Amino acid sequence: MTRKSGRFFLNPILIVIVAAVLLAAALIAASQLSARQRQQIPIGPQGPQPGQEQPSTQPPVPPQQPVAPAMAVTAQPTKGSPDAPVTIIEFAEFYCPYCARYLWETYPKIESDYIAKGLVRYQFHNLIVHGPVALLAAVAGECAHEQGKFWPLHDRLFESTFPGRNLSQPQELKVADLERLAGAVGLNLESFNSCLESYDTKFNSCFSDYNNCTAGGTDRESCAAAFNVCLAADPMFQKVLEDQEELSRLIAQLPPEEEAQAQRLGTPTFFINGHILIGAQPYENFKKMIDRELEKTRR
Amino acid sequence: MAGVPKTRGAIIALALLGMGVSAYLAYEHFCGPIACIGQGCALVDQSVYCTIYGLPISVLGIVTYAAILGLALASLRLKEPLAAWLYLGVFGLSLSGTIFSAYLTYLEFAVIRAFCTWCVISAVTITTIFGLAAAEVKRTTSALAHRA
Repeated sequence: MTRKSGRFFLNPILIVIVAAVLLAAALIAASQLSARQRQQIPIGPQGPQPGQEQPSTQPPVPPQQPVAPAMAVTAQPTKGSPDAPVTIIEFAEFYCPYCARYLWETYPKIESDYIAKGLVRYQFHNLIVHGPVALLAAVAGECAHEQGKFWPLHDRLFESTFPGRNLSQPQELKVADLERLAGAVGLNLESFNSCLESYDTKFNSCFSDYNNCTAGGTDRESCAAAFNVCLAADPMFQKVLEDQEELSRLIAQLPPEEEAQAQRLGTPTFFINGHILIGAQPYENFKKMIDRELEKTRR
Repeated sequence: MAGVPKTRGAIIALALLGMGVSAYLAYEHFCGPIACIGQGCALVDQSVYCTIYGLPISVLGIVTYAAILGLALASLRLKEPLAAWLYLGVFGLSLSGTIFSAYLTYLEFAVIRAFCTWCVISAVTITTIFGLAAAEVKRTTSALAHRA
């Protein structure tokens, strides 16, 4: 009887094992499918810009350039001592909630622990992930940088795209909003407004060409390429483009073991003496990498 | 039978530890470091592995450890054969948990590429619970067999 029952009662264990394995497999499959689905959701934080009937017709702005020959990245917005042994290059966007979170939670510690002590030189670059609306804000930053007042506008921009520091509800800033912010941080409004408005006019004219191009039956990619060429005539857009080229250059110079990370690029992305760090990671992760670089220079 | 409550006591303690750790690590590790990718980040908030169709992994971890805790406690209080059946539940859940934990550990090292002490602690916790449950599951079975 015991033998027979023993066999019989082995079955519940087997059944539980099979059920447990199936449950785990289902969870793993669900996790993978869910992750894949979430990666595919294309969503901007806000509606289309003036002149854009449908967000889906947004041309890809700006394009990822092929690796550019060493270009002179001059006069980027920079903080800290030029002789600092470690350079952090940030790629960020004013509509990216994680860039804002990084700025408010992590950056202050980097500034007090390293930048203020002359150990780190800090540089900002644009990386556009939210299309034309984010591009406009990036151009506003470039226009402020023309007057050497990038950082005050930078800080004010993040406070304005995420009012009350509410990261879940980005607010779209239009040309007039950006001009108001520029006034609030003490920029010369005459040159700032002219800088921003000439970009905006150029954008609208290029975008109208783009719409005509697609309406005329030309394939979207060619129209988008023409759009980029058209807009590249604007000097401020050109600067944002140069940021993308700088990104390509930095990626091309990554150590081989870090190359895979660059395939999952997002904002914010940092290069710490050429080593990549992606995301609004905890301060400890920055500290670890910065300290490692400082250690190298002491040797 | 003296060994049984001791093992279950250990499982109960580990389940409590696991509840705390899983909640902390799932939030901090999978929902912490994040970036905006492609055309958006309002929805690609945090790591895409942070949730499964909207259910945060942290919640999944807490629920699993809580279920293990509940089943282990109940199996101490209730009489056989019900206790033995509940114990089989602990065994099954901890096995699922161990497999899923191995998958999460794989993600950490191969995909997210970030070392996380708390993740390793949770993985060890659930694996230990499974080991303890597996060691006792035979005895449980024989108790059931004897009853039958």
